[in-house]
Amino acid sequence: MYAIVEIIQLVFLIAVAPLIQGLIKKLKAILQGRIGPSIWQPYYDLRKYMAKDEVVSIHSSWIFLVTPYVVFTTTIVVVAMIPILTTSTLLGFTGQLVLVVYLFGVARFFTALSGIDTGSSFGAMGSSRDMFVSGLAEPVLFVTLLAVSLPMRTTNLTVITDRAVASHTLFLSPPFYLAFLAFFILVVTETGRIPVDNPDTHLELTMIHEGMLLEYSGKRLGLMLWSAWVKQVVMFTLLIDFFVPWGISSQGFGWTLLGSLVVLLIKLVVLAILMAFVEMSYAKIRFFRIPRLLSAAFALSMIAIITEYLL
Amino acid sequence: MLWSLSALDIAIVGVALCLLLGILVVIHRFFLPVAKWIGIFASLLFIVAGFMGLLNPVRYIAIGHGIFNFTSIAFRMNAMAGFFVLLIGTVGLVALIYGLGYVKEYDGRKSVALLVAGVLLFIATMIAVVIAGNVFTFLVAWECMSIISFLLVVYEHEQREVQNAGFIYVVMTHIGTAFLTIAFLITAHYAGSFSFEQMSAIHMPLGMKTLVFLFAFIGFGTKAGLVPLHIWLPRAHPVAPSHVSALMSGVMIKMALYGFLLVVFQFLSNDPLWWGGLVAFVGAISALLGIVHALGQRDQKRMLAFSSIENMGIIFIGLGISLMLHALHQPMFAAFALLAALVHAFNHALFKSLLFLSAGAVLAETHTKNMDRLGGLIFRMPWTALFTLFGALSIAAMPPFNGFIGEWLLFQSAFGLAVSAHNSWITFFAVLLIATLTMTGALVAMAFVRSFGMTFLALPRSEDAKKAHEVHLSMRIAMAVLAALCLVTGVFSSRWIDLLKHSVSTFTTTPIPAHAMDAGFARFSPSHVTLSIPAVLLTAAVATLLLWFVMRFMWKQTSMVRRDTWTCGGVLVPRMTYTASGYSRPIRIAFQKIIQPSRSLNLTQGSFYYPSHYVYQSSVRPWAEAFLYQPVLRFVLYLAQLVRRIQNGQVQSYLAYLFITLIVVLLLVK
Repeated sequence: MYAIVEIIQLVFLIAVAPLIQGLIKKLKAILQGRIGPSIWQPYYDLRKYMAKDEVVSIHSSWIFLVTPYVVFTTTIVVVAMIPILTTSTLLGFTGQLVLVVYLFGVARFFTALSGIDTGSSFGAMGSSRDMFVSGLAEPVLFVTLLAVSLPMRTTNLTVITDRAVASHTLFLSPPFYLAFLAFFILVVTETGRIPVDNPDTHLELTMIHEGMLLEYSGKRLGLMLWSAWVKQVVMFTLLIDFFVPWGISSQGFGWTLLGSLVVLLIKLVVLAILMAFVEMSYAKIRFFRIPRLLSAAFALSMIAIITEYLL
Repeated sequence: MLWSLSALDIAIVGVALCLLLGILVVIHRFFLPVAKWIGIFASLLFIVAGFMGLLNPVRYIAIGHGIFNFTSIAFRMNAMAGFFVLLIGTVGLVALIYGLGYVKEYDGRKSVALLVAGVLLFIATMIAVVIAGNVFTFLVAWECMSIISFLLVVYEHEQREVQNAGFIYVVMTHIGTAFLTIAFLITAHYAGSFSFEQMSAIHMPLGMKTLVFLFAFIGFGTKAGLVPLHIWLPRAHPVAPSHVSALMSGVMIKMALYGFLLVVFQFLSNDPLWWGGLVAFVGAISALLGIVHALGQRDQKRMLAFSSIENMGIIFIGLGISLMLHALHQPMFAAFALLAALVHAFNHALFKSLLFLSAGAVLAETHTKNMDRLGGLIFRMPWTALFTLFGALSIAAMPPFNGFIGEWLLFQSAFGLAVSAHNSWITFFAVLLIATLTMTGALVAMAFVRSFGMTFLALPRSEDAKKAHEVHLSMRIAMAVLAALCLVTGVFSSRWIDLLKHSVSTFTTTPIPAHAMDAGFARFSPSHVTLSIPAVLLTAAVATLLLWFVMRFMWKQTSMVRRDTWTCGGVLVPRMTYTASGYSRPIRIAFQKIIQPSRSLNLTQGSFYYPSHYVYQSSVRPWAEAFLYQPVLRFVLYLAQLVRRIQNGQVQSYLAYLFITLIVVLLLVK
C-alpha cells in the first residue's frame, strides 16, 4: 500500500517538473514586459522532441548515445529517494544524502563526457566549465547539508524530514536562516540559473549546461532537458524538505495526501516566483567570479554550523 | 597435503618461487618463458594465502635464526597481513598477465628478461614486507623493495628524464628509511624484543611515543607520497614501464599504509588527539594539492601519479579520523573509520592499476603520454576504452562502482567524528575534512572526465593516434579482470566488507558486528543509514526498462541520421577540438597560487605586424618544489661549499687532519 503512495509521489514530481520550468519562464517574461510562452510550453516541447527524427554527429561514439538514458535513469532513482509528499520513500532504506549527491554526479559525469564526445568546442567548453563549477559547488553543498543534518545527527533524508516536520522551533534559530541562504545559492548554481549560468542562451560563450546539449536532437534532447527540469524540482524539493517541511505527511493516504500535494504545489510555485525574481534582478556574473559567490555560500553554512554549536 | 598448509606457508612458498625464478632469469634468459608462468602461479598462491589469512585470524610464525640475536628472519600472518597479501597478489597477477603482451614493446630494444625478473622480485619483496615478523626482516624487505623498485624505475636509463627521476626517488626513499629505522629501533628498545608479536601497545614515555609517531609518519609518509614529501612520486611512477607503474602506484605505496598501521596502531596504540588531527590534516592537504596538480598535467601517467598522491591523502584522512575517534574513546567508530581507509586502499589498488595499465596500452599504441596529442581512440581501441571508462567511473566515486563505497564509508566516518566530538572545534575540523573530501571528489571527477574524454573521445589530434589499434589479448584480459573487480566489489560491497572485519579487529579491540553492511549496519554506522547498491541498481534497471518501453512503443517511431558536428558552418578538423590543456584552464586560473602556471608566446618567423610562425609554451611549476625544496637544496649546496674548504686537495693539510684526529682520540681514550 505504501509502495503505491511512494510511486505516486515519484510520478508526480517527474510530471510536474516541466510545469515549474514553464512557470519560471512565463514569470520571467512577464517581469521583462513580454507576454512569453504559455506555462505548458515545456510539455509541448517534449511532445515535439519525442516525435522528431534525430541527427547525431558522425564523430560521436556510443557514449553520446547512452548518456540521455543514464542521465534520466539516475534522476529517477534520485527522485525515488527524496521525501516529496510523504517522508516514506521507495528507496528509503538506502536513501541518504551522499548517494543523492553522487547519483547526480553520475549524471554530470556522463553529460560532461557527451559534451566532449562530438568534438565540438562548445560542448567541451561547457563540460570543462560545468565540472569546474561542480568542483566548487560540491563542498559547499555538503557543508550546507551538514548544517542541516548535524543537529539531526543523521544523513538519512526520511529521518531529517520527519524531525524537521515535528520541530516547531526550527524558525527561531539563526543558523536556520544562514543555511537557508547558502542552500538557496546552491539551488541557483545546481539548476544552472543566472547569475551562475544562463539557461536561455544558445551559442554564446557564456553557457555552461546548454553547451553540452548543443549536439542533441529529437528524443535524446527531450530526455536531457526533462532530466534537467526534474533535477531543478528535486533541488526545490530538498530545499522544502529541509527548511519548510510543514505539510509533508509521515504516512499519508487519501485526503492527507491530497493536502500534502496542494501544499507542495503552493511551495513549488512560491519558489518558482522567487527564482524568477532572482534571475530578473541579477546579471550573469563573470565565470571567474563564481568562486566568490560559492565561497560566500560556504562561509554562510560554516557560520551556521558554528553558531549551532557555540550558541 | 596442500590443504594442510597454512596461509603463511603458501605465501612463503610463493615468495621463494618468485625470488628463485627472478634470480635465475637474471643469470640466464633461458628461464624467461618458465618465469612468466611461474610468476602467475605464485600470484595465484598469494591470492589464496591472502584469503586464508583474511578468514582465519590465527597467527603463524616461522623463524630462521641468524648469526646475531637481532638478525633472525621471522614471518607471521594475521588478518591484516592477509589483506595486504591479497592486495599484492591480485594486482601482481594482473600486472604479470599484462606484462606477457606489454614487454613486446621493449623486444629487441631492451632486455626483457631483466624487466620480468625485476617484476617478480618486486612482488616477492612486497609480500615479504607484509608478512615480516620482526624488525630486521621488515627493514631488509623494505630496503630490497625500495632498491628493486628503483631499478625498475630506471629501466629506460638512457633517457635523461628517467635518470633524474631515479635519483630523486632513491634519495627520498632513503631519507624515509632512515627515519623508519630510528622509529623501529626506539620501539624495539622499549619493547625489549625485536619480534612484532611482543611489540603491541608498548609502554613508553609520551615524549618517546610522540617521537616514534613523528618519525614513522615522516618515514612512511615519504613512501606514501604525502605532501610535502611527495616530490619523487610524480617523477618516478610515470617513467617506469606501465605495469610497474601500476604495481608502484597500486601496491607499493600501500606498503607505507601497512607500516603506518603496524607502528601507530599496533606498537603505540593509545594516542593523544592531536596525532590523529595531524594525520588527517596532512592527508587533507595531500588530497587537495594532489588533485589540483593532477589537473595541471598533460602527461597521462604523471596525472595518474598525482592522483595517487590524492588517494593516499584520502586514505590518511581515514586513518587520522580513526586515530581521533580512538582518542575520543569511540572504539566502534574508530574501527569503522579504519575499515573505510582499508576499503579505499583496496579500491585504489584496483582502479589505479587499471588506469595505469590503460595508459600503458595507449602509450604502446600511440607512443605518447601527452593527452593533447591523443583523442578518438574509442573507435580504434574499443575494449581499452570501455575498461578505462570503468576505471574512471570507479576513481571518480560513481555508484555502483567500488570507489563510491570507499568514499561513502569515509564520509560516514567523518560524520561520526563530527557528531561524537564534545568539543565544537573538533566538529568544525570534521566538517572541514568533509568539505575537503567532497571537493577532492568533484575535482577527481573533472580530472577523469578530462583524461578519458581527451584520450578516447572526439577526433585524433596526431598521426600516431590515428594509427592506433586494439592491444594484445593478454593486456585486454588484464584490464578486463580489474574492471570487473571494480564493478563487483562495488555492487556486492557488503560481502566484501564483511570479509575485512577480521583485518580491522587485528589492531582494534572492538570487534566489528557481523554483517557490517546490512541491518546490523544501521546500529553501527555513525549516522543511522544503510546502503544497498544492489537495490539502487535494481531500481535503475527497472527505470531503464520502463523508459525504453515508453520510448519504443508509446511515442512515434523516429529515425536517426549521422551528420557532421555543427561548427558554425565550417568543417570539423582535429585542431578545432578542445585539448586537455584547454579543459583544465579554469583550474589553472583559479588555483594559480598552487600550481603557478606560466605561458609565453614567441614570434619566431615574420614581423610583428605580419606574423607567420608562433611558438606557444605553457607549463606549471609545482608549489612544493618552488617554495620548499629549492631553498633546502640551496642551503645544502651552500653547506657543501663550506665543507669543500676543508677538502682542499693538499696532502699536507690531510696529514694535519690525521694528526689532529689522533690527538683528539688519544685525549678522549686517556
